[in-house]
Amino acid sequence: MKLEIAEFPVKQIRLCQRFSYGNQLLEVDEPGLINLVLQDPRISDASIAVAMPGERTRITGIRDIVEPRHKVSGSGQVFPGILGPIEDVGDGRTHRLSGMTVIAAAEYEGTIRAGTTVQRSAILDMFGPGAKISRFSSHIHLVVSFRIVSGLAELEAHTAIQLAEYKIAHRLAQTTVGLSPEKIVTYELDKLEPDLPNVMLVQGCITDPQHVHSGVGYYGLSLRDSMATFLHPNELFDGAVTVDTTRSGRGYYPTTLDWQNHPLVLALYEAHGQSLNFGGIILQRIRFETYHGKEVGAQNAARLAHAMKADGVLVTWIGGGNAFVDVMFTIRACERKGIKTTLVTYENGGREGKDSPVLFYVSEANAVVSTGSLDRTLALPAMDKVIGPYEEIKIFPFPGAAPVSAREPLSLEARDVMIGGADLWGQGTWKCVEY
Amino acid sequence: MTTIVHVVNQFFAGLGGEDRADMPVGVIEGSAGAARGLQLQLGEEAKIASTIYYGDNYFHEHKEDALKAILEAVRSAQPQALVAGPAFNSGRYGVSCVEVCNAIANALGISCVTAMHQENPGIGTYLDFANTRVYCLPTAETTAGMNDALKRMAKFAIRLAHDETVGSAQQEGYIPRGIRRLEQTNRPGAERAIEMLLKKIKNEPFESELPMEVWDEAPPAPPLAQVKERRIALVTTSGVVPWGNPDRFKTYRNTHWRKYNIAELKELEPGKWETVHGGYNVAYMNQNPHYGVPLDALRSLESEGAIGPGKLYPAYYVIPGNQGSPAVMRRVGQEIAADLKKDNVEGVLFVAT
Repeated sequence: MKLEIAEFPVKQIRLCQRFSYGNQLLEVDEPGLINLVLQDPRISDASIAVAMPGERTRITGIRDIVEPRHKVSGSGQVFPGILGPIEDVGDGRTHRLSGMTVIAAAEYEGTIRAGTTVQRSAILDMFGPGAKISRFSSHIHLVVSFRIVSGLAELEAHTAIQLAEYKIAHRLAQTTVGLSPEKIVTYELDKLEPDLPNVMLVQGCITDPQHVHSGVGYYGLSLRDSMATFLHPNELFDGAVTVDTTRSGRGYYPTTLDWQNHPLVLALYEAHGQSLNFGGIILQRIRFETYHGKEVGAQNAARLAHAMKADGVLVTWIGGGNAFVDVMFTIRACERKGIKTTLVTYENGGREGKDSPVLFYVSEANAVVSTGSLDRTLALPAMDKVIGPYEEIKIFPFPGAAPVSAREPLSLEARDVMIGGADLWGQGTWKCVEY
Repeated sequence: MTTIVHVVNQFFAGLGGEDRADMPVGVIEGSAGAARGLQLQLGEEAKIASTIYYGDNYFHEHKEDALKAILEAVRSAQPQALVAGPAFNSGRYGVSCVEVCNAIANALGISCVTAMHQENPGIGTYLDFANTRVYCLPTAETTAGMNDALKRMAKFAIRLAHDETVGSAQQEGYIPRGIRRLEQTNRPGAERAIEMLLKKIKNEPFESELPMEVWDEAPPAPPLAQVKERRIALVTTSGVVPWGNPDRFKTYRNTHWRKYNIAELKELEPGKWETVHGGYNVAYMNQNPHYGVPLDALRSLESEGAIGPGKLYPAYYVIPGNQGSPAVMRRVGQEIAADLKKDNVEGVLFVAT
């Protein structure tokens, strides 16, 4: 499997009445895109805006962020099982518009009042302290704001949001067909250096099997009580793993863009053939409800790593709470098979960093990289402009939470309300240090 | 001139051993006993204004008085930093050094340094306080390490006195207090992770960025005899609250608890209660709140006589447990337990989720 990613950087977006790409300028047919979105009867009132880094702009109602990509060769299409047919992806050539994203910002109140599966949305500041902590504030964003028709249940709302954002992103990337890219990076794992260790990534994913969308989509199918499965990193680049858009981007949930540009995958590719052989990804379901489930799931992932002849694994996760027990059990199971582990995780630790940074330990987890703490308050200044469906937002998704003006200064009690404010997979340079 | 105060026990003040451990707090002008060694290390850079001493037993038996007297003595000396110890492996002394530092730092805003062996019980107190103005340096087990300890303490004290920025525990060599601060490094976590893993694979030394923590053990209480004569209460982390969430619990990281009256109720009617919890799918609990607050079962136990008449506490206690911070939950548990005790509750049905 060999994938060429052809890069088309975007430095400027112009809303007009045609689609084109050239000299790092993306021209967007605004009415055309709005029509594309409104074809779905579940969506009303779509509008489009552009947000630039450094502007005093706050984006509200963010459901997901995606990088525009389009496959020009190889089997399948980006987002197989959602946009394209259910076919192998990860081979051939894929075009990407880099430096920009499509943000789906939707008004949706949901039918679930609380719990893991309650709908939630995030905000993004393009300026000030909020921008400083988010990996997304340095991108140019095409923000698509819309409303979901009332009464839709969560899965319907999710598919409406996801189809809209993926279709738009795909349409934008198609402007580059026939053009020559600024850069091509080739990704393949076939060439192995016999003297280097075989290193895999174990990606734990919290899933809610009882919910209509478990939180992690694999070729569009939501992962439930599955055992671990092997994933070629190139499949990620073509959108084989996706999110639940009624919950993504907030707290410990990644966005689609994070899966498309997984920092540990990119770093392992960078090291491939230099200091290690990258052996691919083990996609593991975590947060089994019982001790039995947690042990079986952990040992199953370790057996798969062993069968793939891994000498070492990076272990990382999405989730919180008891899902971390599954992660720690996985580390223990790997170490017992002689597979060396390093964990990459965010921390909690409370506002002052005096509380327990993580919720569970095993003694085998002796190599951990910290990506910083979520539990830090953040004071945000007033903004000149609000983009997105909400002029008033709820900082907390709990029943009865009072809405506050999105334009005014905000005080956040945790960094994860800002999309990209939590570093899940070591893309950023923050860490916690012991004092 | 930079001014330092040195706090020592009676032994290191040169005033006697165990037989003098009942000695109250006293002050010697300038340096005395072990403080002479400290003054030697401070050299010309700082002067010990006074040496404050106390008997090891006196301190622990009259802690409030002792701290008050020490506070007054330090206040009148107006130092820029305080040095306590070193205490090596002496437990009573180690704990008192940390107590003194903590009290002075809180009351006067003066930064303090103490020193002791890693296994001194004082380290536990140091970690409990996690005071940002108190630093503890590791020492040898015995006074054989005196010179080395005083040398490092003197250096540290001068820096504290000059209000210099103190870096991380690893950079500066003090014992980490369990305070984790966000810092920016010059390399992404992904790169650091690969480097750490490769070192581990090659059996080279590596340093984890997250130390392991040892958890409290909570042994289960012995079973209650004659349950039907006991006053029983229900405590839950399920997050079942009256519909509308009147006390504004959040779905995660809560810091307060409430109790809600159930005295007149036979059962919890769906629609009048709801579940505020971010850690599970609450739809089923909303349909049947008894999964979290099994009042129906308790009422049948009452009618069967397994719970005595009037023995069920008239309210249940609740905090949604999701992502609860251990320190907050420890405090909440203590508050609820105190409230239960006050009302003579003898047994608790604890419903977790």
